[in-house]
Amino acid sequence: MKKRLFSIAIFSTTLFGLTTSCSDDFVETQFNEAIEQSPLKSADEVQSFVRGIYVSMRSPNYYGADYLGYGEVRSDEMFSNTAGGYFLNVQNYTMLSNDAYAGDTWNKMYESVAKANIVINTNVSGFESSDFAEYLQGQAYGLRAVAFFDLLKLYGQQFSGGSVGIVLPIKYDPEALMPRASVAETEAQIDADFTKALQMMEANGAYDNAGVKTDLSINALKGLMTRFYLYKKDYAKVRSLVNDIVASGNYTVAPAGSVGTFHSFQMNGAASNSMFELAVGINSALATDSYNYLIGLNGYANIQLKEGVVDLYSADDVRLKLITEDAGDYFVTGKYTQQNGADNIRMIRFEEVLLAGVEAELNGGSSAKALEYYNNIITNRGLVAATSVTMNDLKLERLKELLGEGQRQWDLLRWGDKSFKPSDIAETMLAFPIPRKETNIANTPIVSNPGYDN
Amino acid sequence: MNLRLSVMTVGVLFFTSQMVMAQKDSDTLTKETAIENVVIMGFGQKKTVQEVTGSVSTMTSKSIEDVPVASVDKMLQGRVSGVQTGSASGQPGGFANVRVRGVSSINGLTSPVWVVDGVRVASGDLTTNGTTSNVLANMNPDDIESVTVLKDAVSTAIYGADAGSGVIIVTTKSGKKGKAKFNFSSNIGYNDRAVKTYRGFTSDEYKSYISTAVANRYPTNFANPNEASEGILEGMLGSNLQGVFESTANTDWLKETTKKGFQQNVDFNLSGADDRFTYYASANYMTQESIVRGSDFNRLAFTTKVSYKATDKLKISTDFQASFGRINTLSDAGAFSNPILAQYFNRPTDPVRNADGSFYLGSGGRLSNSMFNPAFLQENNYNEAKTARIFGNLKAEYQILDNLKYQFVFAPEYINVEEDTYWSPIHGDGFGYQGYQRTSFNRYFNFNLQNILSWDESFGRHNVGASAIQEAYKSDRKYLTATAIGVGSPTLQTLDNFVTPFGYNGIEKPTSRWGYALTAHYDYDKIILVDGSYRRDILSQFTPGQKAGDFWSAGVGFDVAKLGMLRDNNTISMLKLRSSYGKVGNQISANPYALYYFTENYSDSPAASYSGVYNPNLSWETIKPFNVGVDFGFWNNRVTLSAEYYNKKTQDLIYNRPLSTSQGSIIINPDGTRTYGVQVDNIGSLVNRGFEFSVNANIFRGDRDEFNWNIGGNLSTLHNEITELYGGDVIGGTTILKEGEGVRTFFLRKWAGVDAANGDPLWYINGKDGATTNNYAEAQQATQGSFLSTLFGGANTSLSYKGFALDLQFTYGFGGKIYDNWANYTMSDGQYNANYPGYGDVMGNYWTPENTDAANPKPIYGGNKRSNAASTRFLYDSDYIRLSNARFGYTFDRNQLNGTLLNSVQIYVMANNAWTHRFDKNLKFDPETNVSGYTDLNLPVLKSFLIGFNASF
Repeated sequence: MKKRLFSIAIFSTTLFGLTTSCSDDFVETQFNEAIEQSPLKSADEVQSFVRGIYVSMRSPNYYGADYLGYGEVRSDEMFSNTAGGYFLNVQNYTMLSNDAYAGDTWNKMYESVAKANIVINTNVSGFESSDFAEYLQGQAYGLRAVAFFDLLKLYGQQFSGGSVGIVLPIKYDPEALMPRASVAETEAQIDADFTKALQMMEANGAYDNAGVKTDLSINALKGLMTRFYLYKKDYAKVRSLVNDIVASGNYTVAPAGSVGTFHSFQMNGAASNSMFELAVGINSALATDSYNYLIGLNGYANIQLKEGVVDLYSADDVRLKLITEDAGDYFVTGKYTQQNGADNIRMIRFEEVLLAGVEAELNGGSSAKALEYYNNIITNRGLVAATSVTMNDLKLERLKELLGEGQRQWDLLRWGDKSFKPSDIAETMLAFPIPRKETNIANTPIVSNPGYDN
Repeated sequence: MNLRLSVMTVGVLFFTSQMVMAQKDSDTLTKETAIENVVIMGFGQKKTVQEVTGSVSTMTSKSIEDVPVASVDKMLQGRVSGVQTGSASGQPGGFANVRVRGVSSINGLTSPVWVVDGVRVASGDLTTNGTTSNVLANMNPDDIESVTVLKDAVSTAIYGADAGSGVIIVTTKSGKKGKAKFNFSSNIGYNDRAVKTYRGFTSDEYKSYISTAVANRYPTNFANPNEASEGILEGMLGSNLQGVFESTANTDWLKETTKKGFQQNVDFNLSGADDRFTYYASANYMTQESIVRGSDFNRLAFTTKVSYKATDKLKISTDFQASFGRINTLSDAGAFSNPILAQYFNRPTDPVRNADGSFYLGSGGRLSNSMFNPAFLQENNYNEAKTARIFGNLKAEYQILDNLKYQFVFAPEYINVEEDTYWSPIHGDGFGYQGYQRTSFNRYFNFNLQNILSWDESFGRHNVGASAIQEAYKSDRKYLTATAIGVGSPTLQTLDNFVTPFGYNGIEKPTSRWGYALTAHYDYDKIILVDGSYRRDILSQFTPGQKAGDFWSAGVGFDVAKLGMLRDNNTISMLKLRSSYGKVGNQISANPYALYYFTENYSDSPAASYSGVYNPNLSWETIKPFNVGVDFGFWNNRVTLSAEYYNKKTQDLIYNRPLSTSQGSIIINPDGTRTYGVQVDNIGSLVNRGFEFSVNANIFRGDRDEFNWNIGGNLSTLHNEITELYGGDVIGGTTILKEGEGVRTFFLRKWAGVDAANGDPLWYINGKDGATTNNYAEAQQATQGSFLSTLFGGANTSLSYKGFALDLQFTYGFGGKIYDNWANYTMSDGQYNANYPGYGDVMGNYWTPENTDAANPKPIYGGNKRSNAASTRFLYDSDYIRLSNARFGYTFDRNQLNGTLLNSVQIYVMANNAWTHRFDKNLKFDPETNVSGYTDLNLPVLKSFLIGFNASF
């Protein structure tokens, strides 16, 4: 009996030992694919976050497809035939506040802003290569300005009869609640971000490489800024930005013989007219979610040319090669060409900058310079040089050159042309609804857009 | 890049703007309590029925014998009380939702823990590319002796941190004392669709419907449908539609994608035992085909179970299960390649085959409306998962003292899932990629280690027992996948032949836990019973300081029938009152950490993303189940009756605390999807409560040649309600989470029918009643009922006479709802019909000036005022009664077998899901799909007809 008790005692001790020894290590949380959040510690990590902004921007909910689609399906050049169900309520102005398009794009845009804020608010002064980190922070400011501007275009009330802009978070604080700023405040923030971006990038210009098209370079930033200052009608600023870009000599208009190739975004960084593009590539291909699937013939074939648009091109215009007819319907098939959706996303190219230059020069600048920019494009499109250029010429040329690239709605709106909107649709519907998820939060200061159900 | 993988693997999809709730849920309730003499409880502990103070239900092998279903979880339906099971998809070998006493969580795990012969095993869908699968289907149901469902605190609390959704105890067969016994059984049959569903249009109907819609849209151009038809033929609405009207084809896509499914099960086992040695071994082969081509499951399983009494004190036993399962699945939901979708979305005017018998593939890889030819895809593409599972269970029991026993258990489980997806370059999703191949390996190595010390002693009529348990469990997952595109020949289908890399994935995910428990039991002559338990669990997923949790339970029982005056009463053999209460945990998948990932590829350099908002206080959900019940037994328990009331409160409910999405918060979920604007926190509570009744009666009992009749039945009710929700209502596209409502509540505009005056759609403005509007945006959303059945159960009867036996098993459910979430396409009233035809059932039932009381609005080309947008128009009651199993057999008399080697032979015919009555005449889906609430263009649930025999010698 004694022996037995002894063995029980031994046994119990062993059991207890087992119990305590396996405790802490055994149940440690393991993350093999992530690290815990903490302030970024090196320029490399900062750079990964800047790339992270590009990744958010290339999402199909943003520049990867949908945001480009919004610019087209509400315009005078293209429309959605709703194949596969895509863009139905965007096109018909029948979105509700829980619409997936309104919510998903909002989320992706603010995800881009949050990543930019993580970069911007990193204290880089102690980093080994702090000047490189500052250059990267400049890029983050520039990308934040782009996201804010895109948010303003989509959700702001400047075109829909109101004055409310968007929420402007300038640091990553996920639990914060902020109201929407006014349109004017939003525009001031975008202006400040662009200015700061340019200043920080130029101050550390040694790191700038205009040859790498998949990173935001100083020239690319200036190109993106022309869009905002055209919208602001600050033509002098646009003129100066365009002058800088042209003077850099880094870019040329796609020559007539290679329009097919240069417009095909498949060149992924190699085209001489490209200034900035979001890298996609086969490893990150957007596949069936890509813009190619929406506008091309081989996917959903959802976004097609409006009737008569193809007739705006003269017969020897080489850009007709980019358009394909299918049983009486016309599709832009020459720009996004890889059916697996591996095409880079063209953010800005030299032709658009020249067109911005034409517009800015026609508004208080030199008409000769405007004509020079204009002819630079059209003579490379199989057309003869013009002797004069007017705003109407410019508007038509923007349509022809940028067809399908997601710019048209915003061009028309800044020109004050709302004729693409069916007349029985209220003007308030030009702004997207503020997502219901946002306005449903208890005590939220965020107001919804008029005309919607929230 | 691995974060995007789930997105990359999907093919061409339809757009759905309806944000469906991510959580899936089950709801089909049934119940039967077969009160057995011995009940197997947690950690292999045995109790007699008289000793139980908690709530347990048992399903015996007899009640599931030969049922033509691949996995045991699907058989719980109708056979066990308080349990709802069901699956959205009729995929053979697919996953089944099992809910024990309602839905105890919103974000956490709602599936029960599965325990086989005392140890925890993997359950659920472990595949990564299939639409559904079920690792439990790798276990041979013929090996199962009994299944016990533990439902209340006192029976589940020793499983601690994840016992909140119930525990299911599976006990496998062992050898019985005597000489070796051989058993051979086999059955064969076919599968069909369990219920009739929607049909597609015929070509003539389609043209007529489109002409009507076009004439309604352009009344100034076309005075009537005939003129519209002529206009279309002249190309006035484009050459595409012109082609439709010129086509002479008339394809029934439903017919082209289906066939009768084949079904077979063969099982062989041998068993026996002597004084020291007990053995059982079995081999099983099962194959089952869905009615939809390209969807099937088969399994080869081998089991051996031996135990050896080495000395008087030491007993060693090992269990070994090896199995190989292969499942072929099809796309579901809005994938163009989904054959169920194609049945309604493909035009009948596109032919399925060319004149020479080859498949018609349209032009540019697409049919006339950009759809695929599903018949080609079913024949050429595949999505296959092969699961190998090896499970061992080593047990050593040592009797230290007469009343003191020590038990050591070590049970490793190795699961390897190999998956292959192949898309032909010729047509379909693979066309744009010039062929697509995805190969993956998903390996789990799990083990369970237990040390159990138990003591039992009687002091006169006082019986006392206690046990100390220590348990550790670890699951280690390693996952590797690669995808490539571009193949030279469609006959080459392995990864090597695809030349362009198109993504890869490699992760390692260990999770671990350990804990210890104490249990105690006291009874006085089985008249008064008291049980108690305590468990402490430590889990790896929480932050330091929050990893540990304490759980406990207490139960009491009082058998009135054993008291003085009732003791000798022959009528009442049992009258036991019992009650239990305690605290258990509910495990969650949510993660308290805030993380940075550097896994995205940007221009072949790493790019960062972030996930989660740090919440160090996050802990598991706690559930406090209260149970009170009474068991009656009459005439030596020939008739038994149980009634129970339960009230299961979930506290610290994990829910997404909504944050402003403009501040950018994101949770990257394990499957790569993202949830925006939330922080997980313990911020709500809910309750599941209801009654359970079960009855069983042996009305006539005798030997083979006499008349035997047994009936049983059960009925359960469920009231599920969110009692507290921080931050107010959470509104999804079609559902809502709201205090005072169930967790699966529909939130929809209410359909008010068709305006007889003009064919407009109407909705109630306030979402309930009264004034109506034809303006969709003006109508309010309102709560419109829950997915879940509120009253459910089953009934069974067995009759036998002179060797003939008839067994019937019924199930029923009332109070649930099903939403047809693709009806905005399939009943679009002209919006989409020209591209995607939809349900042909609208023929004769849409508004025309002559048919003003039709159920469907006037079809208008391009749509009629959002008539097809989400509303109760597409919400159906799932109330049903079903004959889930019927079996008629004949057992040969021993005398008839004299002179043969056989001991017994039985032949039978069986029908599974043979008859279903749906109370909502508009419901065209399987009523048991209300477990998931949405139809989602899933494979139909099957009915099976079988013939088979069992022989033993």
